[in-house]
Parts: sequence; structure tokens; C-alpha cells
Amino acid sequence: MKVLLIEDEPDMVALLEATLSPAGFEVHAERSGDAIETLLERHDPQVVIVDVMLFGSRADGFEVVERIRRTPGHERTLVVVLTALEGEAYRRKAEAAGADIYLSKPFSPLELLQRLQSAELLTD
Amino acid sequence: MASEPLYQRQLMEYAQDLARAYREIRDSREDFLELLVTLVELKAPAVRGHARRVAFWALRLNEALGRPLEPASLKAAALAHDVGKLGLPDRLIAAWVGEGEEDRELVRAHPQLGASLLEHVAAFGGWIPWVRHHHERWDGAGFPGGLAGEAIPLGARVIAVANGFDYRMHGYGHDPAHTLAGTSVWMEQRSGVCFDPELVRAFLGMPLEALWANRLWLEEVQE
Repeated sequence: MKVLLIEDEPDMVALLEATLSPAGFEVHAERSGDAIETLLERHDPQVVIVDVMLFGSRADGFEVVERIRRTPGHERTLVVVLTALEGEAYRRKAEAAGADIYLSKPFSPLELLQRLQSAELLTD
Repeated sequence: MASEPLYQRQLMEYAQDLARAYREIRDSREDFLELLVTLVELKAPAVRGHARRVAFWALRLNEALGRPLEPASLKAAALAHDVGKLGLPDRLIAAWVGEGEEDRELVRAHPQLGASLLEHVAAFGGWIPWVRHHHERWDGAGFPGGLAGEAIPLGARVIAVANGFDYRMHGYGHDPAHTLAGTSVWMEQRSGVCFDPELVRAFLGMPLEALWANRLWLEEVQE
């Protein structure tokens, strides 16, 4: 299963790759979601994990999620939103944008893995 | 770069998840062993409690020897030592060696069968040979390998002593239960024949009377 990871913090990228790669996920990490349509076409992922606080990017994560949903062929791609922002309002905003899973940092890596694996079972 | 406090909190989540995963692996391994033991006991109520008592005595002997074996592994092997008996006809499960050549062959197959069953579980590691060889004898006349002396894995020798003691104290097959004094003599007679003499010496040097009287194996088997 291919995972496109949009995350600008190298430490977080390293942790997520260490979590997902041994579990059999093929992770492609990108620092910015500005060119999300091109990235989707290049990697054709089944899962996109987006950090909504992308410093240095023009597009914030919520906008990236909306653009994923508008990209033909990715209306049903599993989208996971990661955020350091707490609060129900942000969760609702992520869901409104089209996210399937919303995790606030610090998140449980086991929970992330289990939810991705459940999704994998459903799509198999 | 990640802000330090958030990155550290995230690392803590990883550490906690790792600890939780280890705990779950350990718990499910123990649950699975318990299930196997219970299955053997359901098939042959006469051996109820035997595996837990053997685990108790094996762990005690290991302590008396200065803990040469990793207790969790020894406990697992002792609990599982007879799971191969699931493959025997019910009438043979409580038997020590069986009667008649055909039954004897069946009974003699149980350590190997048990080891083969356990090998299907990747989480069970280096202690499976202790199950396979728990009926070897010090003089080489045991089964299935006919191994002698220190060629028999120490874990298997420890389980053999605990196993012999428990069968003798509780009775098995047509043999009645024996007293502690009678069992001690029986073990001494088999020291250097069936059992590793050093282990018999260490075993009989333990405060058996007090341990027996307290029936401590009825509690959780302590590692």
C-alpha cells in the first residue's frame, strides 16, 4: 500500500517512516503539498497523510485535503490529517475538508497503524 | 524542525506504544499456553494441575541452581511440556510410558509432537527443545533423541526432574501417590540414571516439605 506523506518536520517524517515502512507500507515523503495534484499523479497513493501545519507552504493542510478530494481518482483515497492543533473545531474543519482520520500530535503510532491496516483490509 | 516539546511528547507516545505492544505479546503468549494446558486437562482430568505444578517445581529448582535459565522461558516450557499429549488417545494422556509396544510408541511420540506443534508459533523461541527432550534420561536410554548427560539441554533436564517428582507425588497411571520421603528415595535411586545427579542434589536440598505443605503452585506460578 502506497502512502504519500506531506510533512515538513524531518523528525516527524523519520518517525512515521519508521512506523509505516516495517509494516509494509511504501512511504513517499514530501515537504509541501503545494503541488498536491502532481504528487498524486506521480505516486498514485492509496493513503495520504497530511500535516495541517505546513510552514513555508502556501497551502495549509486543510486546503491540501480539499484539493485531494477534487482530484479525479482520489475522491475515496484514505486521507489522514495530523495536527498539533487541539480542539473539536479543527477536527470538524478537517472532516469538512474531506479527511477520513484525524489525529492530533502526539498521536499513538499503534493507533495510526491499526487504522491504516483496517482500511487496507476493507479495500482488499 | 519539530518543536522540541512536541517531538519529545511524540517520542514518549512511541515508547508507551512499544511497551504496550510488548505487554500484549507477552500476555497473548501466556494466554495461549494456558489454553493449551487447559485443553490437555480437559482431555484427561487426571492430569489437572500437573503442568502448573511442574512449572512451579522447575522454577524453584532453577532458583536453587542460581537461575541459569531465563525464568519466563522455563515457565513456558514447563507449562507446555505435555501439549503433545493432545495427539494421544485419551486413555494414554495420564500414562507415564503406556502398556504394550503400540501404546508405548504413541506415548514416546508426545515430546516430539508437542515441540512440532509449538514450532508453529513464531513467538515461542529457544525453549522448544526443552519440551522435545524432557523425557531424555541421563544414561541415554530416554526418548526421543536418546541423548545422554549434558547433551540433554539443561532446561529439559530441569523439567525432567520436576516432572518425575510431580508424577511420583501425585501418582500416575496405575501407580498410587507416594510420600515425600518415598519420592525422595525414588529420585535418589534414579540420580545419574534418569536424572542429572547435580539437579537431583539441588532439588532434594530445597525445603520440599514446607513447599509441598504450602501448596504454593495453587497461586500464580511466580517467575
